[in-house]
Amino acid sequence: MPSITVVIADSDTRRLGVCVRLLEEAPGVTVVATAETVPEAIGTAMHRPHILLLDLKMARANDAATLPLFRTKSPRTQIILLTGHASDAHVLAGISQGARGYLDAKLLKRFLVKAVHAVAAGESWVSRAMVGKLIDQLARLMALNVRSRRA
Amino acid sequence: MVSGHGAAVLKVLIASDVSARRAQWVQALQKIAILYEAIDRSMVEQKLAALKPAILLLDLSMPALHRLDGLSCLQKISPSTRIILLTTTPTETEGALMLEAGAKGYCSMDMDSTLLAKAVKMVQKGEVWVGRKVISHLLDTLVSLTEQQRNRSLPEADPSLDVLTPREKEIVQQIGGGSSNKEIAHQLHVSEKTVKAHLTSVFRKLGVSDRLHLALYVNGHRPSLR
Repeated sequence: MPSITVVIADSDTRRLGVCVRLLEEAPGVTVVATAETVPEAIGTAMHRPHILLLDLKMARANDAATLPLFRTKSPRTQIILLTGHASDAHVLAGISQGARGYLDAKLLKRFLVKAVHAVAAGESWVSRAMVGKLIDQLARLMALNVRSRRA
Repeated sequence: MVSGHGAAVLKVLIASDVSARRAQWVQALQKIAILYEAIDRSMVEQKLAALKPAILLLDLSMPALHRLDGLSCLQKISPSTRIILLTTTPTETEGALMLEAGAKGYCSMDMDSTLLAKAVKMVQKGEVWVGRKVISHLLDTLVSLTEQQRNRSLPEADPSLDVLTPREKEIVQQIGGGSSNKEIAHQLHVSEKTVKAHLTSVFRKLGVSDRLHLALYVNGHRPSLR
């Protein structure tokens, strides 16, 4: 099986270092690029990685354009958000923009490699608690859609 | 069931027309809940109204259930009851639909008894119980609805970048590369305030509402043509 290619984009350089180390030790995973700013992150889309690990703060910078921009340039990349003390609303916004999962930065050691494998295999990496919120958000959007179709 | 320490008793209504299934669920749950049984739709409705159970375990293949409509009718009878659906042939699409319609769980009939007990407990706690594939399907729907919503606020006609001044074009290109106002100001040796002023003018000329739309537009993302 070909190696899973990963780009890590994190403004927290220490955490970036931790991710690189964990993934380089993992068999079947290759880190192809890293980025510490949003423009750098957008630039890494040229690698068309299987996975982008994206700092939620970077995802939310500049009117939250990072995620959609990256997906426009590399539509097949699956994105996992790295969260610190993020609010659920921010995580949900990232998921609505196409992220397939999110990881609490405190749990990197335990879950990073697992999450990368799972998401690369087409699964999602979200908690059960988040699924409930996701459904609520879906219901809101559907209501909006119905309303604007009537308008 | 004796409820120790004054803990609230968990009432579960089990609904299936197949007695073997009811027996199986009773066996799985008898230690954690007080169980009631219903064998057809009218009995389900009756017991829901009378008991207001915390959980309804519902066999989706029950006759006269009419799936989606049935689900919302049952939910209306007892809004506080959390409904877990069990089906012989779970599919992602149906699972997503049922959850959107208000079900709190959607699982396979083959689920083993320990897992079923766990599902009931999780749903009682306010969580949702579904398979990974259903979650992926929900994510897809969420993303496409969000995009539809976003695209709706895009201008109908594609504005051309030709209406912009050379300076504005420079800024727009940088926005498309993900730069912040600060980064752009630094690159172009101007103040952030100047960048903002240029951007306001760009938004007006192109008829876009914000930076995200502008960034996508510059990258040739024209959802109105899709």
